[in-house]
Amino acid sequence: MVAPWNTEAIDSQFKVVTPENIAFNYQVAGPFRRLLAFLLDLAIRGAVILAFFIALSCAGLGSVFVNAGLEDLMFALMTLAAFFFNWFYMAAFEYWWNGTTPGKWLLNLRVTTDEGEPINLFQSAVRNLFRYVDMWPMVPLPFAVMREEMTPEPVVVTFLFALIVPIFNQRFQRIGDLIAGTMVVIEDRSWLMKIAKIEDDRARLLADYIPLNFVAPRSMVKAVATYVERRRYFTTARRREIARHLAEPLLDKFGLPADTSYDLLLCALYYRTFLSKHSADGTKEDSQLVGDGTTREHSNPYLATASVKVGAESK
Amino acid sequence: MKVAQLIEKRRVYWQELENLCAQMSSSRKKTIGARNIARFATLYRAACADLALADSYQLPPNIVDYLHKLVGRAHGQLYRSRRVDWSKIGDILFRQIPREIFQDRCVQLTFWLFWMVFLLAGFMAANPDRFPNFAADIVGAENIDMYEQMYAEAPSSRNNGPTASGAAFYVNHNTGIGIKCFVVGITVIGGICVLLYNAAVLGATFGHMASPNVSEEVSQHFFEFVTAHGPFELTAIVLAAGAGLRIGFSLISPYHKEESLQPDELPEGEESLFDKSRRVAYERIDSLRIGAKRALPIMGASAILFILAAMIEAWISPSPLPEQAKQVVAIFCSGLLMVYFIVLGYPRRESDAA
Repeated sequence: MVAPWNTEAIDSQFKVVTPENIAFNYQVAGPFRRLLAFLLDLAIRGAVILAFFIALSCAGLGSVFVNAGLEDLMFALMTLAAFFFNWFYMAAFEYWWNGTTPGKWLLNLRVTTDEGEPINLFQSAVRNLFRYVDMWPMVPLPFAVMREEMTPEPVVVTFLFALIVPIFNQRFQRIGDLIAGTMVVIEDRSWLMKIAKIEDDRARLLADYIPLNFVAPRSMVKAVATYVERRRYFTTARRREIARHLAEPLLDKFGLPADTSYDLLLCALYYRTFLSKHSADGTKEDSQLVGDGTTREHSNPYLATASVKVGAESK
Repeated sequence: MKVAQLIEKRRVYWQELENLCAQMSSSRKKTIGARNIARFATLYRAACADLALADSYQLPPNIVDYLHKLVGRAHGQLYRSRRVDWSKIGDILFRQIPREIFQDRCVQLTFWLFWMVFLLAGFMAANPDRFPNFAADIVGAENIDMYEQMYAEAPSSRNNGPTASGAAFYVNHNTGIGIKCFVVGITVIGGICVLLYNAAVLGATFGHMASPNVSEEVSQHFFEFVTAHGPFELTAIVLAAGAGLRIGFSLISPYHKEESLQPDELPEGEESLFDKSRRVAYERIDSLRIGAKRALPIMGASAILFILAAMIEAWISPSPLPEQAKQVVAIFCSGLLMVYFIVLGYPRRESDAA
């Protein structure tokens, strides 16, 4: 059961089943968003080193060290810092920051295991050590070969592996991800949208003509809701064209005149389903869910298991 | 109840959960307070229940989408990465890793390959009568000239003596090479090539320095410099290459002996058949993961050795200590390695029982 439609095979959604036995979807991050995060991290590292350098050379911090006779120590610290920045910056952040680095955090990315669980130190180390493989294939520049100076040849780091390997698996995993068993997911903040308002009074009137005993199947409700939420982006002709496929058989079924506006009918159905008094009654009071300790009813078959579970957990 | 009304009511809780998520991701756990954490758990469960019931509530798709993201965020805040248990580090370092290394076929293979090629190259370079120009072919004539100039002076007078920046440089440079050697190992052929190349170049350099072509003084300076940190550094290279090969071979041959597996690594549906020598077949990707799990501790040991070697190379090798002292250091280091790999690493019965 995937979010709105059954598009599991081609979508980048990945289903996670939590220990609470709740299934929800994570969206797997694609190569280009991750490339951006990587470049951001690279820029941050560069900026820190640059700031350090400026502080040492221009702001006189360096001369303080030199005067104190600690020049040697200063260079040692700088080399060590470069070493850790080079090899362990990503791994350390992913370990301490729950799977994010500053660049990933800015782009709302997070590293999790294949099962959607948090990663551990071993996984963060492995997936970042194998970043070196991503740079392959390294191609020596042709003119260097022609000059017959093999040793100091400039090498082009193509990063092709980082692009090709993610394309050939479902979760856009790099080689390091494959070895460590991790993936990168998008953790967007999304805005809660309100139920679409039906401004047109005619739709509300039309809703009364829909037979009271008609209950729309779930897939139809989804289709109608998706249509109504997006209809404002369409022109009238386009609305008619899209709404026709569903509205025509419905008009037939409800016994309404065939020249009724298709768009209006779907709006009426939407109104009826979500906004009117007759809307589907599968809901219950939120006080039970949030565990305020009020009585629970087991009238609805859908709710029986869920409310028992919630009750058990809230103790 | 109307769906619209229901959403209006739940919206308050969802937004509260969202705010708590933002709070938890930006501040430390202790500052949030027990009350908020309990509230977070309650709201998370409520949101999970809403999501689970979204279908029977007939919530519109964009609300369901929102709920998926909300629950995903909260899940990410609730389940945090596990911290390393530092109290076990001694046990891992001094009991598990040496045994792992002692038994590891890949480390054994790289050990023999490296030393065979090293000794062979050394022998050939040390006998320029029989193998003329061998050292120059392998190491390169320019490099040999450079080395000879480098060691024309005594080590203590060459590098301005021991320095901290030197130590940092060796840590950065050598450990970086070690990590690259480890990573390249995943291609097996690449890993073996890098290992053999290193062995041949190092062996040829050592052999050349010992050959009659080089003046007594230069060769003495060279060996005085190299002796102290040699044991750790050469062992570290062998270990790094071995760890890399372990990953590469686990990709080529996805079979693991059952006795070398941990309980949670048996594939689903497989029962332990009490036949410990049984080989369990894996999918390649799972085999790769098991290989990586075995290899990373070996690489960790190698990195520690690289750092120790860098310390010795920076502080002891260029110091004005007499040559005998440096030889004592080398013997001591070799002894430590023996104890670590053989005494601590020798497979024991009690580990089977545990």
